[in-house]
Amino acid sequence: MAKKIVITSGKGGVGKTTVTANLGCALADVGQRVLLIDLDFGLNNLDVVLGLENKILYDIQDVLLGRCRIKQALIQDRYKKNLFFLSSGKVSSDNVINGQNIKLILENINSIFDYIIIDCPAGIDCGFHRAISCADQAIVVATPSFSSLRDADKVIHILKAYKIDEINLIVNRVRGDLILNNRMMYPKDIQELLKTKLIGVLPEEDVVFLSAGEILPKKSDSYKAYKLIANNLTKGSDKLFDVTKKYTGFIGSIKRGLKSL
Amino acid sequence: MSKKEKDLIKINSIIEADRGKALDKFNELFLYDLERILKEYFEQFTSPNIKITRVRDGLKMDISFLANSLKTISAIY
Repeated sequence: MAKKIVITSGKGGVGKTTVTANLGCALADVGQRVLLIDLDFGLNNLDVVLGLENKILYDIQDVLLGRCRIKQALIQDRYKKNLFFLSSGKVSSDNVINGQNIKLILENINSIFDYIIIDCPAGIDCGFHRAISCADQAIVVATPSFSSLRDADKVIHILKAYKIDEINLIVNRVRGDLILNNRMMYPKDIQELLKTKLIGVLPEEDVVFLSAGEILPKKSDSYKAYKLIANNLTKGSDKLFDVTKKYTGFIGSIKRGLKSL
Repeated sequence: MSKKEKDLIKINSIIEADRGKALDKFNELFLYDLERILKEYFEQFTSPNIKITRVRDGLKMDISFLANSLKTISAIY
């Protein structure tokens, strides 16, 4: 039985789609069978982040309208054999796409996967409600900024009202140099503020931007951070990536100084 | 006081002021959905009229439709 996790945030642009794609890859790397679903209808970008935009033949609407079988709409990732993607496509009829129908589709493929990860649209309108009604767990992605934290708090309250079994938090775009200079909130402070379990800390890194459509290099900090999150989810551990590590010590303080220039 | 500490105080006050508002929005959407579903169901009757309001104990639903004569159901959930 697959665990259905919705990736949400409230605020747009905090990295939901990137987190969905990279977390999917990390879970596939630790041997899990993973399906990524884009439920951000109209503004769907998960296909581009995964580099699968030219491979889409059928989407979720085709499945709902009976134009194809669900397995025909699943697209296998180019690099990872146990990672699949289901596109939202261009939706013309909103009536077909509701939480109940999507839930029925997921029930049909429940046994094939270990994890079904749902990319949720920004905001708290009907698209958001549709996405969270299909999930039994949620991961809220936030950045250490006022607007993101304010929206994350609202979203967490709505998720609680939906009786979602487990709500976890990932803090994205954290800068170790600013934390050590006391200029950015610690992820642990954010955890306390939002009263939600922190399962991941992701560093702000150029490599994430540069590797869109490709897989993250294994040497990058982001790759290591995603791997820790995958282990936290699968093994129940609670290790977090230390974003300050490379800015401590003599060489670290030089790096920090250069970064602040 | 460092920037980090100032930020924490500021975001704490913003969040505290906001708490509760999000649930109101959620309730509004819930009422809207419920009203829509009931309207669809009662469309099989003549002149359905549905009104859902929030009352102290929960939700008050007033549903009226024409059968042999005008029927009105009123219930609090």
